[in-house]
Amino acid sequence: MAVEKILQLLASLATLVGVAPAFPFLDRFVQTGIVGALIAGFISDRHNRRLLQPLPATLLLFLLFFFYLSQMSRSNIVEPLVNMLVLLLAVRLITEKSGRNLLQIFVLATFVLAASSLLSLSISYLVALALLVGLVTFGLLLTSFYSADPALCFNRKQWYRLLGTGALLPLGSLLLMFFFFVLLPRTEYPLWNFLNPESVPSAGFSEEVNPGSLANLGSSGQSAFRARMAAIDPQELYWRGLVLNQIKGRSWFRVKSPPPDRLVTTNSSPRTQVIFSEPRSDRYLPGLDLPLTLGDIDNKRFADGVFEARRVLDKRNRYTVNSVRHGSLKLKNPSDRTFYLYTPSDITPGVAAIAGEIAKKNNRRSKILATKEFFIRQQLSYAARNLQLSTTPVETFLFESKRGYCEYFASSFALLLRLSGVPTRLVGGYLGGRYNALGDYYLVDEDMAHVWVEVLDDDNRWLRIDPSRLAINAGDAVTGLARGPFSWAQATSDYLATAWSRLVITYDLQKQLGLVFSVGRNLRQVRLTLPNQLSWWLPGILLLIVILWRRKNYFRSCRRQRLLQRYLRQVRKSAGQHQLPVHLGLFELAELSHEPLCHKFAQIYGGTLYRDQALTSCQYKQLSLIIRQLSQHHIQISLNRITAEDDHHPRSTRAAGND
Amino acid sequence: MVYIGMTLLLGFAAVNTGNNLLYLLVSALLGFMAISGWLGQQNLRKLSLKLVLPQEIFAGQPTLIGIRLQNHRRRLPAFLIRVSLGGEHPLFAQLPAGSFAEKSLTLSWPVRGRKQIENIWLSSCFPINFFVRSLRIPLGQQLIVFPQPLANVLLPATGRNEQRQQLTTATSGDSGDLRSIHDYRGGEPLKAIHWKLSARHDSFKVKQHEGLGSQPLVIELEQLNGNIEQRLSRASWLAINQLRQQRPVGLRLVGRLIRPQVGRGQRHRLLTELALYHGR
Repeated sequence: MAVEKILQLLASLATLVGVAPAFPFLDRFVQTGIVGALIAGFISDRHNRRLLQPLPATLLLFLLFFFYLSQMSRSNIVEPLVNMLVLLLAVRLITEKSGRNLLQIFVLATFVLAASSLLSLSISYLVALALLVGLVTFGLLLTSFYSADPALCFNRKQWYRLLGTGALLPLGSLLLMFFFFVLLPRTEYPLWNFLNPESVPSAGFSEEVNPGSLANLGSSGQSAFRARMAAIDPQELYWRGLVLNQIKGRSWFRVKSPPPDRLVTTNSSPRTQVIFSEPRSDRYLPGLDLPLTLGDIDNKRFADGVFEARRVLDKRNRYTVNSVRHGSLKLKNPSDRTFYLYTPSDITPGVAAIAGEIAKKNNRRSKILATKEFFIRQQLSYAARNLQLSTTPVETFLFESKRGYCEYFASSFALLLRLSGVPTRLVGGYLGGRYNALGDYYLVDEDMAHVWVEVLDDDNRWLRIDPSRLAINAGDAVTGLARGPFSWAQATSDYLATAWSRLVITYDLQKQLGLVFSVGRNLRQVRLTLPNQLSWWLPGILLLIVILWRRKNYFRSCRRQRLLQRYLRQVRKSAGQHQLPVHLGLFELAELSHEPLCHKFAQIYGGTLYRDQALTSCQYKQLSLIIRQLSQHHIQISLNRITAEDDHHPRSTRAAGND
Repeated sequence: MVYIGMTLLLGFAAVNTGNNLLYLLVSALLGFMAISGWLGQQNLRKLSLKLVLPQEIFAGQPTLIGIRLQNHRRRLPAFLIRVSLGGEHPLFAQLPAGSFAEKSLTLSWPVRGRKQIENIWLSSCFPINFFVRSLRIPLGQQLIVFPQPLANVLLPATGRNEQRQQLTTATSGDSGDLRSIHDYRGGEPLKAIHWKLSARHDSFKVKQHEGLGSQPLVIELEQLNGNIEQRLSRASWLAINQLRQQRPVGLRLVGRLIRPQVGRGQRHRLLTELALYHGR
């Protein structure tokens, strides 16, 4: 098959792969143009016809270039650029595919793929990159052949040979790609950062709880973070984000200087999570309840167990959290409890009446229990859609609609307790998570955002109570708990996307420096300990290895002679002869022995010897097998005949014993 | 240059945008550069080249030279090897590991004498056409270029017809008188078999004739026309022409004589003397 035809096919494929990641971002006109050009180019290649001559093509290229150049502005650079590159590529596809033009197609396809990285950071880029490297490298390889001789044609065997060696190019390039990727220098503040695709910060959990303000709870489906840790009981998956400690009207909000809490822990070992957080619009750093310490990111810890980053979280971040399972916060100064008892003045009569009932109980424990019983008695159901809008949401929720989501449950529960004299606060965060066993991490969505309550018990310890669990449909409805586990395909795809994000997208100067330092540290820790005797022998062994390495060609050439000696020894043995004449050639020996194995040996060995070729490993094995088989044969060699013939005809063949 | 330019441009964009996807692409391009450099270097390793020269090379005449390229590598084939010698550049598109291939090219030497082909250049643009690697192979190939034969010369001393008188030579031939009959030894032409005698003796008998030759010719340069190079050219033509007609030819040079003989050895001897003649 002709090199030219394969090259044309590769150019079309490279275009397809290069354009694919950018295709959804192209103008409709450009999308149509490139698809049309691919089809037209393919057909014209088959019929050896050109749709566009060089001069009109050049004029068209200039026209397109200046048109899109005029479209560019500081805020709109990438899209006109990609459109322009794709159209240039389309023009090249329908013009003559000379060596130079083919080269331009490969270069343009590479540029389009590069530009697509400024539009999307999807993992599909990696697939496209691997394919494009294969196509472009092989395309460039064939361009060399095409330039050397445009009429070159190869048969199937020659194509396989070329493919075998040519495959080293993409494979080696992709392997080295990872090496260079780690080493290439990064800057902390890239100057052209504005060209990059903007990451959309997730909504995060609400910093203000306003029940009754939304009829429908939205669902974004965006992931909030991934937490690498061992799997735990799903009921314990409360991710603490922030504490809303004050109420005004119907809104709960956070005052950032709450009374200090003291941590009370048992001796249980902390649970460590490595959190890979998506960009956030707030600065809160969620961690498994109850978080003790938080590292790997500059942060501030508040007295109520809330962690806040000192910088905006507009990029993906990684941090480590140590949480404690059996532990709680205790109000440091019990007199501060009044801070958590503030209630708004406009309490509705129904709520006030229930709170009054609860307040009659003796202690906080009984009051909490009574509130729970009231919630169960009311047959409240968890719902996120078609909710009743109200200015008195607690009253409406508890006595009229009896439907609501976590904010309704938590704010009503907290208000009743505060009214009955139990210090209470709301905690915002996430509930649940889907565990990916492949990557050992929980995926937490924004849809799992949740609000629960912390109440101060009689020992001034904060107890976590989730009023949403008191709903009659709690098990099915609470989003975080209702999520099923990952399927195998979902787990794999999410794992790959996570690894892509963690290893590639977020790799920056800090990680690079961290890697360098950790390598240095690990190298310093390596101690080569050898037994005393071995340390004396080591230089000698190394020297021997060097000598053997340098003499490898000698050993390689000797291998053939050793094989011949083995053969002759075996022939002597099988023939029962002590000595064979030194001038006896391999073919003569085979002739005299009438042994097919000897003929075969002479044919293979002599063939390589006279063609001045080295024995291949396959031939070596074949000859060794012949020698082994000869050991089971008896050979008759008439040496008298040799002597008689020698008297008449001087021998022209050299001795078999000498190579 | 295009490739380097593209890599630099994308590298510049990667550093300035901090976009790791661009870094990946630049890394792949750098990786490709490294691998292609290594492959290009390997492609010219362990290659040997032999020139297959014709037995006679005449000055000013295009001569077909054979080139035998051998790949001594065990695994890696050689690709796109171009051999540069004179003005021609034959291409070996593929050469499998452990094999050889032959091509030919036409060379011409303008003047006679002893010549040497000291080096031969191999070059290859494999694997990509952006860089061409070259390798000089020292050959030290010696060759003798004979004077260009110049025809249209009158035979010295005697006319052409007189030269044609035939003499019996010591060697056997097929056109002289019958010299002897002997047993068939194999290799004799069929027309030499004496069929009647063979039938009578129940074995093949072969006739042996006397060879016929002509009056020996001794070429003397002084008797030929023209300047020294023209005389040498004419002498070459004469030697070739007369030896082809089985006439013994000798050569008288300054102070020595090469005795007239026939055969290829004599032809080579005479032409060599003429090629290396320097007038003393």
